[in-house]
Amino acid sequence: MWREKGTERKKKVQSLYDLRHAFFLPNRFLSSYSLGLMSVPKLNVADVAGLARLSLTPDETTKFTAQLSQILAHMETLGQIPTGDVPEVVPPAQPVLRKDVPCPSLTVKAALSNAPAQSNDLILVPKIVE
Amino acid sequence: MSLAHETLASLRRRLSAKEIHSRDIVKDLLTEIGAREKTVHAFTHIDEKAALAAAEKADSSLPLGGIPIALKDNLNALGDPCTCSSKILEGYRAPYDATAVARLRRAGAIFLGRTNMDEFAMGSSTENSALGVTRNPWDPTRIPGGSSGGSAAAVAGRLAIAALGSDTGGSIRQPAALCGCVGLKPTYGRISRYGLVAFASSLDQIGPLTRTVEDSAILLSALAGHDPRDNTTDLRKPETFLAKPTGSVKGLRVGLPKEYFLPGMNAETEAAIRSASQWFEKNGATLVEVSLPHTPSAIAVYYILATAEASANLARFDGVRYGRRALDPKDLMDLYQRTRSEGFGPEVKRRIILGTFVLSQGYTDAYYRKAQKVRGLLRQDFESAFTKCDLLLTPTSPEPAFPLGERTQDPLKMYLADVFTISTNLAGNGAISLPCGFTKSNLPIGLQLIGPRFGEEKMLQAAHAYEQAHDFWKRMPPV
Repeated sequence: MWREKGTERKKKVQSLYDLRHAFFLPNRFLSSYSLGLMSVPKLNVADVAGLARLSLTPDETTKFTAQLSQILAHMETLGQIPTGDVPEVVPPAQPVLRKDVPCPSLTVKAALSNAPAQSNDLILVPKIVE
Repeated sequence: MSLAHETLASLRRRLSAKEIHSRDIVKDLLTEIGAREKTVHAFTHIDEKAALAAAEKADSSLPLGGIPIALKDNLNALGDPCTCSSKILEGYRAPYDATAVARLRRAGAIFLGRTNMDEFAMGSSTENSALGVTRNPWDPTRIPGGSSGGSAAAVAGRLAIAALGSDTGGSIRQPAALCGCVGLKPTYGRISRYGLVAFASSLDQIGPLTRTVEDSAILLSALAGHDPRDNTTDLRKPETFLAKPTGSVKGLRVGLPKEYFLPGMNAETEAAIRSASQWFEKNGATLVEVSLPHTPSAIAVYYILATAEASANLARFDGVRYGRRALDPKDLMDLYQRTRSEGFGPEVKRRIILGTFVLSQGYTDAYYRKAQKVRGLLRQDFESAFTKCDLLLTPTSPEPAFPLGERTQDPLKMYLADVFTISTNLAGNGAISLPCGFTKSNLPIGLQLIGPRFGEEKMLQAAHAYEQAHDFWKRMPPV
């Protein structure tokens, strides 16, 4: 059930892509890095948190930087495992599509029952256009 | 004897014979809860009135008619809270039933209590709950394991007959081992995940925590089967597990993976597992040494893939459609950031950041795709091991329950608690944990049996035979 992703040709193209990225890593999140996985990157926690729509306190930033660097160092061990010819796998999923027939779903009332702010069967959010 | 001390199988027989009524079970459970829940804190929510009302209406002719079951607080059950032990879901009431919940309801079960967990199932000790820690009924100064720690403590502490949990990296089996009950993580695709709040969708699986293997099989039979709302569920016909217990392990080839027996592992755990393997051999099974060579990489692979999936899954908690919303946001970005920063606890934030990082431009190949490849190797390890044996026998946890607070400041050390359970989630296999002994200080030790994919029947037969030849499951915790 696990599908191999891509053909041989695609894999070759992909490995070129990997190589390009290995040499042209954007220096956005790491203040130091090296090729491959063998050195421990220094993570810019505040920047990554911003991408995830989290704002951290200075204390959290310091603490997470230390803890996540230690965790990333543990993950570096994967770099030692040869995976050159190993096909990338995707999680098991069956190509099962259900029949395209209408079936009951949540009512508007039920779907809105947990909305923090609403009006006229619509969810209210702060203004997004000036 | 209080009905709270009986097994699900026994209560089912007595209910259908009309010897007892569902309300008697609920009342006995509420008495136990009144006496010991203050110490254990297994639950995040208990609605006594609703449970008693449901018990009155219970139909004992149904397969689970009138049996009270506790639900981990990440399973949607119509009208009930579903907090995932997080502040971000304060006040949320489920507008629908998860498929697993609906199936139990259809089989006549009633629901008593929402059980505590590590926030969004992220943790191995239930200390990451925003709603307070759960204590181990065998020693309240120790953790119950996690993330389904509330479910395990409730079942072991006789505060629930059975409970549902979810297992992404060991979250059913590890707390079951540490609390001395039976925890089953079915094969990926066996039980629908519809209505389970998603943590890592390619790894999550719902399963039962029970006192016995027979109870586990009864619940699995009720829960398993294809669901059009979860297209990763398997299409094979429903079956009744452990319908005819053989009580025998004769001829079974039991594999002992050498990577799971490491020098320096906890001596009492090792002794209990060795003694369990000798029991299998004495009773006609053959022991085979096998190798799962990529085991040492499993933790790294898991914490890349699980956090990557979690960072995407938890993007939905943004304060817009449900759950907590920050007060007086000045704009949409402020609403997102403050809602999430105020609503999520430290472990959830840590994992979202890690997951966002491993998926960020320039790093997906080095981390995420590399981990997917090694995941493939781990899966091949299991496939090759199962050409030589029928089941694998391992410890569930490298050590018994550790003291509260010991690892809260050291996330990596906490992650290592899942070293023996994580690989089966990555490979998709089913596995069960059951009690196989106690330490000198009276802490339970768990034995893990791992089956080939969709090999639950053989796994349950072997577990049942072992369990019934011992009396570990009958022991009562002191709290």
